[in-house]
Amino acid sequence: MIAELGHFALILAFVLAVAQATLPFWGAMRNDPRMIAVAGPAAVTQFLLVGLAFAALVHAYIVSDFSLLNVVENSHSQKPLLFKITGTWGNHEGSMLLWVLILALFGALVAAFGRNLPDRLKALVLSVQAWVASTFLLFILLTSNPFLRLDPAPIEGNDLNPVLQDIGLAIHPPLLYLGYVGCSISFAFAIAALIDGRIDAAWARWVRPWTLAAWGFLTLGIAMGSYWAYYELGWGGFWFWDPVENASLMPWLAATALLHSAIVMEKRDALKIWTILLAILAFSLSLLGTFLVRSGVLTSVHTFASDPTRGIFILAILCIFIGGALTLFALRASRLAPGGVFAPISREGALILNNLFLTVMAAVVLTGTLYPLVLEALTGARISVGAPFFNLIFIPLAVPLLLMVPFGPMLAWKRGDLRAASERLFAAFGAAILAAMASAWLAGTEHILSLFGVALAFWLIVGALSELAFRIKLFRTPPGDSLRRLAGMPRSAIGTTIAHAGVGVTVLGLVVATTWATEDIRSMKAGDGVEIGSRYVQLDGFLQRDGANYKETVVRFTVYRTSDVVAVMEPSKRSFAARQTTTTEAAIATFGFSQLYVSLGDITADSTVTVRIYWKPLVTLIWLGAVVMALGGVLSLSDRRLRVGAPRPARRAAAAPAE
Amino acid sequence: MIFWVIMAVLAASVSLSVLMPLYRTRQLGRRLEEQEMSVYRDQLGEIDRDVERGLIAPSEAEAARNEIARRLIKADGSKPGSEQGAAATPRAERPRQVAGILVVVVMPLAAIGLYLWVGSPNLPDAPLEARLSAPPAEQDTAALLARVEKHLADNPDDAQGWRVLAPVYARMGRYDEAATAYRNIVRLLGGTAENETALGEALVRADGGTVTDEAKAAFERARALDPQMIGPRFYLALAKGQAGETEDAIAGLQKLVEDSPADAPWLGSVRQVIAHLESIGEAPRGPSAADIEAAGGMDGEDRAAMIEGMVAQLADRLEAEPDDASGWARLVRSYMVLGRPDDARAALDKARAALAGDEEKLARVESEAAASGLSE
Repeated sequence: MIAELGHFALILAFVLAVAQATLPFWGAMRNDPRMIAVAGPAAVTQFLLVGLAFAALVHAYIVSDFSLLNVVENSHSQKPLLFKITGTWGNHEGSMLLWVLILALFGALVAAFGRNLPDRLKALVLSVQAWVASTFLLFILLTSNPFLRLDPAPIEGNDLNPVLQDIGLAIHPPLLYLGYVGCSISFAFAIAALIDGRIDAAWARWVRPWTLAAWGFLTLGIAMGSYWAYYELGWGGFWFWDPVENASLMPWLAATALLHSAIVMEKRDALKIWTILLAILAFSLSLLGTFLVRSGVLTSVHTFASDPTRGIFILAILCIFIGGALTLFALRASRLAPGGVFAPISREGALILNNLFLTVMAAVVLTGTLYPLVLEALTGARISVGAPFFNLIFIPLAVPLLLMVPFGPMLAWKRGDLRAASERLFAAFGAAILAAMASAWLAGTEHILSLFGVALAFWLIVGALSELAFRIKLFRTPPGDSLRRLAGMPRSAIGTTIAHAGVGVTVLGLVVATTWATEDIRSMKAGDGVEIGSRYVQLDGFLQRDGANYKETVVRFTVYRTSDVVAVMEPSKRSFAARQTTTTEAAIATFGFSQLYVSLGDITADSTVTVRIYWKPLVTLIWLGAVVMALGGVLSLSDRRLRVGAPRPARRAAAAPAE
Repeated sequence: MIFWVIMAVLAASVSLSVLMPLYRTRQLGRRLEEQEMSVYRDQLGEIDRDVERGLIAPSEAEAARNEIARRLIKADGSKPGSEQGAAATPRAERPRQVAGILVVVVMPLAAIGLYLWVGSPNLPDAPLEARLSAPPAEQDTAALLARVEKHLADNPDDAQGWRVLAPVYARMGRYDEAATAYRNIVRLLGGTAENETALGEALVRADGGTVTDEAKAAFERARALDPQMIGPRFYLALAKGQAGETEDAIAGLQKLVEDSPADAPWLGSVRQVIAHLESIGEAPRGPSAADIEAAGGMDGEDRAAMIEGMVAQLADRLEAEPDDASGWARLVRSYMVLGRPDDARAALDKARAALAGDEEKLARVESEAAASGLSE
């Protein structure tokens, strides 16, 4: 009965979403406050209904109710409880339900926390949200229904893909979906503004926290996905320029651009049309990501089942929303008042440059991701566009952008002084040179570009901190005064500093871990040892262990540093009976920010095993940097201040009524 | 029944959640423009705080205040008429009634209709634990089986359990699992002739009829315990047949027939196997199993060359022993398959010459030629 109630709740959610999509919209058009008032309660009820459906599905997974087809296909009674729960979204149907649940959650949050949001704008936003929700609910009900039943029920399920039986499944998809779906709120705000035909600084004020939250989750979700791939796939890589990864990188780039352009809009009441377009693009790229991953166009660990109907359905959703939004944009954008002009050397000028680079980077990723698909569709030729393409084009675009990052916050609004900004960045420049020299001394001058990369990383970190130091007049006034100034700093400014420094941390991790990583592949027997990363790794022996639903062969290694035992590592090969598959579990030992990574190849009958050992210096900084970035986002998010910004000169303000 | 009640309550509360704001009589909150103006008022307050903290200079703050005040005045001046008044007029009531009907009637009906279309209201939940612990009479075989399996997973040394399970598996066609069960029985109860034979049979079935080495070993152990037992003798003879020792196999089986009572139920199948083995012994020579295996590993060109070679061999042999009707038939068919109809026709002519006088044999070759598409 619980399963059927969940099914019914899902259907009610769909019907309600249709009502939520139409009634408040109608009300907004007719200026009827009561119909407008429907939006909020409907959004909350919709969240409760989808939540009920989701809870029913989770319940079915927990109790191994094999009368649900979805549970049979993706669960197993012997699975540990955690993986029974996470397995709920470790498949196509369940993950779509999670997607809609998060969509409904965001809708409910807008309804609950948008109390000082103008009712009309709120109604339009929630109505647009409900359009998205109702199409996706229809998609679930018609093509991907997780509540389809089986009678008689089988006694055992097919188990979850063993690669997904990991704590990562509990974290990565929810975070990423919070990011993807969070973009839908900015999208809904943009569409609402276009329908309404007006947009002002207050609009940017409402959009900023949602974009910031979505961006933060997206950052964490991508980082978590990358780390998961790193430790689970067993070959030590953390980014593969895989289309599925690109699908998450594109909205991230667009959301990053949106975040920055929204600041310009809020502060200067300018860049409105561009901001709207970015909001549309960010969500469109999220939808595109969903299409690429869910339609079966691509095959990867993310593709659970490919079904042409689903692909066509998602493609139709994609066309309706992206095409509809862009058409609306083309029709209505001209009605939005354009912003003022501004000097190239100014904070807003820097932010525009940032936007330019980020969108071009997103376009590069889009091209590299879609080109092989289009080519295959047209000519049948299969090519793969991988790391060489992206490294060749993406990195030369990223480097100038990163070089400019410390300048941005140093420049004043309206008219900046590049010279003064440069002078304030002397410390950062010095730190960058010193860091490059230090690493040249440590690692040699063999990799000139990587030395430059290290310099870039320190330039970013120290540059971000210099801005803060400048604002609080560090060393120029007594420390107590500086501290007082720090306390008085708006949290969003501190957030900027931290997020920019986080970028530097990630860059440092990327450069050092890719350049100075060492790797050793060899076959080993018990007693054999390898010297790597100034550590000695010795194979002690083999042992068999039984897990809840697998058997594993564990190879035990002891890591020595100058005859002290510093770590014991136990990589293993697991074999899962239900799916007749084996997985390789790498073992990772962390020393400071660096990691030793051991992964197993084939184990032969005479107890020889092929072992891959990597020493990855500073590799954890890649992900820690992302966490730091997200932390900056959280700080900025906690800043409920309204940004007013430096106003225009009185003369132009007088001329403004043309707006 | 309770299910339908809960569903009705759920549907009603959803309708209500939409209906309440729609028909609320209480005065609605602030006017829409007022809300917008409050944003600007907040901004003014923000400027004051910024000045206090020394973030902006007083002159800048003054300019900012002017800017915001200007926007504020603009927002206040752009009233598109009072909606509050309009809401009370009859003109506004009509769409609201339509909306009300949609919410109260159409929404729940659509939901229930959709549910009856895609849902399964009569199917109860089936959590695994409850299914396994239900009284046996109410359980399906699958659940009973799972219960015994679970018991044996926890107590793998329960011979009685394995004895229950083994024949069930065999009957269900799950021979691999049946073999595992018999292995456990042999392990726990020792190898009797019966157990070993049952293990061997399960292994043979699991492998699609081939007497594997493990199966052979089991039968040999059984024969050592009871040399007269029929099963092991039969399968061991079969193993010989499969190994290519056809004559030994036939001899063994014939001995088995002689030792059996005349009305033994297995005689039929034993004779059938004998007949089959004899037909293999007589079978015309063709590419050996080894040749076929080799062909599987070749690429297309090599395989074609090998087939051509075999056909040429056959043709040579027929030159020497022309009295082989099935040989001629095969040659004609081979040429047709290889796309050489002229050669096929020539071969048919030779066959007619060679078999002249034996109407029956000639008819076989003629019909084969016609079947392979050779037209005169």
